[in-house]
Amino acid sequence: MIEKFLKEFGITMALPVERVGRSFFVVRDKDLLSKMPVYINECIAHLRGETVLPSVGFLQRIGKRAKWRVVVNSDGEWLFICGRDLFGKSIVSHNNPQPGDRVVVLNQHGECLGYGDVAAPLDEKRVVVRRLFDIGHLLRRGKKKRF
Amino acid sequence: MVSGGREFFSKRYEQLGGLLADVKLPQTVRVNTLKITAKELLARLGEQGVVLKRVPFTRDGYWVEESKFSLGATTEFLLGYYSLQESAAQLPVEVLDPRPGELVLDCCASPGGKTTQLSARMEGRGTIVSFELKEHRLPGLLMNLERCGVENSVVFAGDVSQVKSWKLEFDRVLLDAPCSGNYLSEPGWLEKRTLDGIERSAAIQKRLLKSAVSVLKSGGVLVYSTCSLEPEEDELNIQWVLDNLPVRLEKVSLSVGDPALTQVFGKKLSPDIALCRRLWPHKTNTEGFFIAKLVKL
Repeated sequence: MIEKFLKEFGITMALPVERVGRSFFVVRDKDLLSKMPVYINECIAHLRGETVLPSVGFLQRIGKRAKWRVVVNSDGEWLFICGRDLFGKSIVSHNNPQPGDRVVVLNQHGECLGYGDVAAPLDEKRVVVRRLFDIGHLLRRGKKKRF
Repeated sequence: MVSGGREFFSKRYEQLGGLLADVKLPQTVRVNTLKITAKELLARLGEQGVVLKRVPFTRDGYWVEESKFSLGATTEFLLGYYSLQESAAQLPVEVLDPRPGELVLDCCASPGGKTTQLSARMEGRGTIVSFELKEHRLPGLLMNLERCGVENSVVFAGDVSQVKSWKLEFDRVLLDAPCSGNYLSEPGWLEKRTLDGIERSAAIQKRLLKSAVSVLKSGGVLVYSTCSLEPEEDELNIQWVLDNLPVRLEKVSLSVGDPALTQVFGKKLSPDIALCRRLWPHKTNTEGFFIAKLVKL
C-alpha cells in the first residue's frame, strides 16, 4: 500500500513497515510489538478510508525524492497549510510539471508542506495546484472531515 | 467546614509559607533539538518578528516576548521544530536527565510534551516506553510524537501497572503524575477543587509511585512531579514513599524554586524532603510545580 502511494510521486522505495491499527510504522523495538502498542518508533503514514496520509517526517522524505515539485512564496505557504489550493502567483519556481501530475509543495526553505495535483499551467492567474494534503492537517484532523 | 474556594486555598498556602497570587504566565516554547538547533530556530522566527528570550533555568526553553501571530500554527510548529511547553513543565525531564541508549519509562505521557523532550535529551536513541490511560488524550500525544519526529518511543494505551508483568527493568522512570493541578492551570480551579478530590489524587499517585519503583532497576532514577501545590500530592506522598518503598532521595539541582517543605500543617517530615523542589508561582513566574528525584536502593 505504501509502495503504491509512493509511485504516485514517481518514487520507488521498499520499506519494511508494520501496520498498527490504522497507521504504519518502521519498527526497531520489535520485541515490544507483541505487547499491542498504539504507536511504535518511526511513524510513516496513516490510513483514512482508502487514503494514505504520510506522517510529517515521511512527507519530508517524499519531498526530497518526488519527481515533480513546486516552490511557493510565504503567502502561498500560509494559505496552503491552512488547507487552500495554490494560485499561480504563489509559485516562485518549479521543475515543469504538467496538468495531471502530482507535485510536492515546498517552501523556500525546501521543506515539504504537502502535495497536490496540477490543475492548470503553473503560470496562469488562477488555481493551478489542487491541494490534496498539507501539514496543517495535524491541527485540523479530528476537527473536520477534510484532510 | 469549607474545603475549597479561594479563601480556603489562600489560607492554606499562607500556612505553608506560600501565597495565592494572580500571576500572568509568559508563553514558552521549547526547541526540538531532534530537528533544529536553537540558533537556527531563533533566526527563522526572528525574521517573522518573533522575539524570544532564553529561560535561564532550562536547557531549551524560551519565553515569547513578542509575536504578532499564534505560535501554535506556524510552519515551524507543524514541522516539529518547537513545542509550546510551560517553563516549569520542562524541568522534570531536565532533572531526570535521560541519556542516549537508555530504557526509560514515561508513566503518564499525554499530551506528550515531556515524551518529546525525553526523546530530544536522548538524541533519539534508546527506548521510551510510554503509557497513557485516558483514551481521549491519546490523539494529542500521538500527534506530538509524529510532529516532533520521535522515533524511539513505544506508546501503550492503558495503566502503567501492566508493565510489571513484562520483566523489564528501566534505567529511568518519569512519573509526571496526574494531579489536581494548580490555580493557574485552569480557569475556575479554586472553585472546582476540594480537599476530598486532592486526597483522591494523592491515593492514585501512591499507586503509580509503587508501580514505577517496582520496575526501576537498582540504582535507577525516578523523577516524580506534579503541577500541584497541595502537600498531599507532593511532600506527603514523598514521605509515604520513603516510609514504604526501597528508595532514597537525591537533591533536585535547579536554580529555580524552593526546597520542599519539611513541616506540613504541624506534621514534621523527613529532613531529606528538602532535597525536593517546590515552585510557587508568585516567586518563580511559572506554574506551580513539585519535583522529587528518587534513586532505587
